Amino acid sequence: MTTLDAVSAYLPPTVVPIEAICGPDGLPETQAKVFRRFYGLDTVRWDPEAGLAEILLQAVRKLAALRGREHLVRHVIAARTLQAVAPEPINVVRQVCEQAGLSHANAFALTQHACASGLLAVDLAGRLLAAEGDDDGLVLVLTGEKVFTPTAQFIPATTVMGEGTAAVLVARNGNADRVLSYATRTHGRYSNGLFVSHELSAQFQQDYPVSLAEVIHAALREAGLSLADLDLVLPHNVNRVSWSQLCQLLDYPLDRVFMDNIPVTGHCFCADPFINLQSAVERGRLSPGDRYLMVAVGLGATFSAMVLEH
Amino acid sequence: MHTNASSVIDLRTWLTERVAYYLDREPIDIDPDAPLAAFGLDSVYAFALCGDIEDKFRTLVAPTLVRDLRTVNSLAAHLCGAMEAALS
Repeated sequence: MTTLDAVSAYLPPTVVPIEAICGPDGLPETQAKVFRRFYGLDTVRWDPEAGLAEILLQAVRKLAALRGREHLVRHVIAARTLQAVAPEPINVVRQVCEQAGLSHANAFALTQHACASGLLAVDLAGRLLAAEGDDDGLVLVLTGEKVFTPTAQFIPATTVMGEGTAAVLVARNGNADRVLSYATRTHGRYSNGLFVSHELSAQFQQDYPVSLAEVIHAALREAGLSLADLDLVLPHNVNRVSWSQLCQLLDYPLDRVFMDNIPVTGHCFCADPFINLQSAVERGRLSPGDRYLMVAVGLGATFSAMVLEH
Repeated sequence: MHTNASSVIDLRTWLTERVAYYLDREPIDIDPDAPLAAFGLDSVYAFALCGDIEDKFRTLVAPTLVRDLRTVNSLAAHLCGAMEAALS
């Protein structure tokens, strides 16, 4: 069984109010007002001085469980939304590997599920270790990105993006959080992402809660659990409104969705559920044996849910 | 709540102007009986309109009000009724 051996998160030091993202090419002011008033967004954390390798390394350096076990890491998977993150021939994943003592590891990026690629990477990590019959091996999953351009800084009418990162150490049959199930669905008609037609965008807004609810139920079925068995939901940090809407549809208590980080971090691409896991553990929101759900949605559009036991 | 805009007509005029502003259209182009979504008033501007209503009438409304009531006329009727109820 796939396990999350350890998770660490890094939040950059610069606190940016969402209004600072407004401008001629930036977030429209009307949207910033709505984001603050109704979406529960307040600030994001950026690190203008650091590149992508550095903000990923900050999370890796906090991963105490990795120290002394670097030689056991077989693969390093950078789960990203953005495909182009550096000019040729710079390879950011290899840079991280070299500086983290992981030069021997097989390193690659995974972007096919956009912001849901983090959960895909955890699933893939478990499959790779299982296929290799490697009970001692580890996989390091890296999540989080730089917001280089306005396109990466906000999603119109939806959210603002932060540069928080997370590193996740995945093992087989470890003693930490066990992955009980994983379900994912890609709805290819939305493959143009931000550039779909107005009609398709309106359709996506209608489909969104229904599709997300369906994949959550699928993951729960695979785990042999029901919604009532879930002690906590670790969401994406896109906004509060989408979770309020989903909880109404699911008849699930909103206070069991961990939304503390939405006003602090904004949406940190693939890193949200993992940043939230670390925060939830730090704040005593998870006890041993608790079942929880990680949820992610990627533009394009992929809906993913993973059930775990703490 | 304020009472100076308590007629449905006044409310309809004001709501039409706000919708026209968000859609970057002339108020005369807004059919008060047409679903706002059909004009392209997406969710973020539906929330913005809720915020405008709260600010103007100094009251809290459900964030889904605009989405649920759908047209300018139904919104105006609802708000007028709510104001009358608050005064009675």
